[in-house]
Amino acid sequence: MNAVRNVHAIAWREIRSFFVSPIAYVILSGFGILTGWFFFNLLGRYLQMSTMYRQFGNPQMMAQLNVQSMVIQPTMFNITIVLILMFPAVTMRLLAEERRQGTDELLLTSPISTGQIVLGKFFAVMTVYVGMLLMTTPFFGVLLWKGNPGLGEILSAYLGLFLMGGAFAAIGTFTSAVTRNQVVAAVSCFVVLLMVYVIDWMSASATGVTQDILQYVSFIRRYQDFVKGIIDVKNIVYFVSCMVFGLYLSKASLDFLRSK
Amino acid sequence: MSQITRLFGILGAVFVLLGLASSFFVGVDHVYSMVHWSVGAVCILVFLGTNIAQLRTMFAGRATRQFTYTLVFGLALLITLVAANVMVVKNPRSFDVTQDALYTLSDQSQQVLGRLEVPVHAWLFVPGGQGGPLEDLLRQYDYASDLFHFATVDPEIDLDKVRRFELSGDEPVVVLEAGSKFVKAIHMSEEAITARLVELEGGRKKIVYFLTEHGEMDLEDDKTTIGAKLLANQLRNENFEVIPLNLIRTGQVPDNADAVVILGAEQQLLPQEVTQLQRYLKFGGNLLLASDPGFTHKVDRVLEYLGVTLNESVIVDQQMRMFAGPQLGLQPLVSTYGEHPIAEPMQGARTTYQMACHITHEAVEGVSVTELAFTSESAWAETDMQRLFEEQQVGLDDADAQGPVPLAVAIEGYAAPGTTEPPLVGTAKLAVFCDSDFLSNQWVGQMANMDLAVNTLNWLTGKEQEISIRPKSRTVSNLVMTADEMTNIFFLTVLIFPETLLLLGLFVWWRRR
Repeated sequence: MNAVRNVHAIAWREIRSFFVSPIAYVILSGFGILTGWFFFNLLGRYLQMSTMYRQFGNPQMMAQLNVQSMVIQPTMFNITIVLILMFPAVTMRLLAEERRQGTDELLLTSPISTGQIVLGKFFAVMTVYVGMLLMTTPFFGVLLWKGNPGLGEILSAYLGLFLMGGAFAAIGTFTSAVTRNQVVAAVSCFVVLLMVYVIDWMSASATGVTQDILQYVSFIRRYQDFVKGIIDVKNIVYFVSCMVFGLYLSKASLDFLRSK
Repeated sequence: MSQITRLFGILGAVFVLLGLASSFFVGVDHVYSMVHWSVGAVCILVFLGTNIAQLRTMFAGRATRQFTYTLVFGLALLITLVAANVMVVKNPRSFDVTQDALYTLSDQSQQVLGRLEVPVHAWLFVPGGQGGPLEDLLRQYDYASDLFHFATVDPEIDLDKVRRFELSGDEPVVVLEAGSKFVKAIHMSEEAITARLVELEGGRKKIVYFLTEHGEMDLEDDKTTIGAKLLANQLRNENFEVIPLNLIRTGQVPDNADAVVILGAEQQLLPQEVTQLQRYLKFGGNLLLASDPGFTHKVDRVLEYLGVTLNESVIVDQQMRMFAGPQLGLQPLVSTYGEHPIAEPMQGARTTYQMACHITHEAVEGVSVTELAFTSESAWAETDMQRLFEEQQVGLDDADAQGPVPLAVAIEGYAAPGTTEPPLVGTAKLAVFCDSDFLSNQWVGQMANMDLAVNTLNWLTGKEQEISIRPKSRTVSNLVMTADEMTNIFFLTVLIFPETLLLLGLFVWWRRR
């Protein structure tokens, strides 16, 4: 129970310090503007085509229009692009800021274990992240209210976003743990996220086992299934593995600091 | 440990990492990688050599022990996670939560997969190696059966497999291989893949003989517009065996013929050839006959006793040309089809013909004729050929047949004259087209011409509908929004909500000041 309390205390402290900083609101409003803009444009294009096809009176053309493939799926993919930009900003100060200010000594000499510290920081980031995802729910709420998209597919995509975001958060926690400079933490987080996002492009020119491995570790490939409405156990296991290993590396960094 | 020797240690680590990165891009044995590895190794050796005493002390220290434990535990964790991932890849499990069960195989497909006794490997050949929706389909089969595995192949890289499976063209192809047998699927639908699995279970390719020596289209000619190599290639991709037939030399239609095709014959069939073809039909043979105005009399003796006539006429139809409005032309466009297994998948598709004639038929006992393809109502079959070709004039009059006129028919049954003929074995099937150009290199790839050709041969050879799986489609969206609603959404999502957050941030900043 102590462990849970410690993790909760760390997480709560981190969430408070995040929202006390004005940067949090810049990040959140930037996220809201970008995702809202993407959604609005996709919806507008769909409605425009729908109106045009309706005027032609051709049911076959109308049958090709689908809000799932023309609005929901592209929006879900666009959100991931925004996350790659936002996550470095959210995670950069997690541990790097503590080291810069010198408060890491206080933290590391406390009775709280490094694992609890890392988990607390991670849960704080995930809480903020879930808040960001909740900001996007009105988009799909409108579609469900006015139309007939598949709820299962929307929820599946959110599950994918949550899991992939968890992996992003674990990577960001690690990059923040290995440096005291927030900019270095942010940039290295961005580079790693972008690499695992686009590693699938490299698989096109690879063959055999190399191609299989590259395709397997590609975040976008794993996420695509969720967006399509397929909940594949291997994708869940992969993202959870990334989270576990990223958090372990973060813990290992703190252990190394503590032992010094 | 002096600063300089420490620098060697750092440089060594950096060069080794750079060597690792460059090996990934250009290979371990590239000179660029080798230089980095070598320099890194040298720097590390220098560092180790000049700091042995300090390193001994360090390794005995608490921090080093901690690092070692962390490294060992980390490796163990990594191996465990990799093993977990390998396990779920080998034992796949997924849940389809789509509204329309788009990623769930039909019961028929699952039954066919359940009957598999030997491993089946599906190779998806797609340029670039990125299969997209095709991979999704094959993955469903992979997940549903331990004996079905699939892999995506880039035909531009893996030429061995392209040669082994005799592939041609750029279209995506799935090859299903079981042991030494393989079949190909061009149409990427669940129905086609499952049908191919059934074929792989059961047997041999269907053999189609193409009659030669009468000026028919050349199956090996892909250079001229009047060759038929495109058609032949497509049929081979559909798992037909395509063989030329010199009936004069062989004397009879081979016993293993699943169908015979007469494609655009321009010279008279010999009486003995006609006799052999009629005998073939009497014993339940299958024939595709495609002829053209001016040449129908060379081949129409094959159709005697069936009550079907290829009329000496040319179909005239209105054609729309850009910037020129409607004009009369000799290329009828067909979008109306009869009720028949050949035409059933064609509903909504269009086929185009060049200089076609019209077909008429009368009732004959034991023979059933279905009109397959009809021209538009504005078309007619012009019978005054002399006026058409010599004076380039046409006009609908009483001798002509007003549209819609049929230019293709399907026939089942055969009426043999006399009572001394041997009894019928099986039921003959014929498909007769009053145009052959639509199957030439120039036109077979246009619109749905190839689909019509393949459907016809599938029906003739009995390949159609052991398997009938409706293609899945998404529920049609009924989302409608007014302009006001769109404006409200824009203000709320793009302006008001983010603006509120920004103002909140401003307030927080002010309070902190």
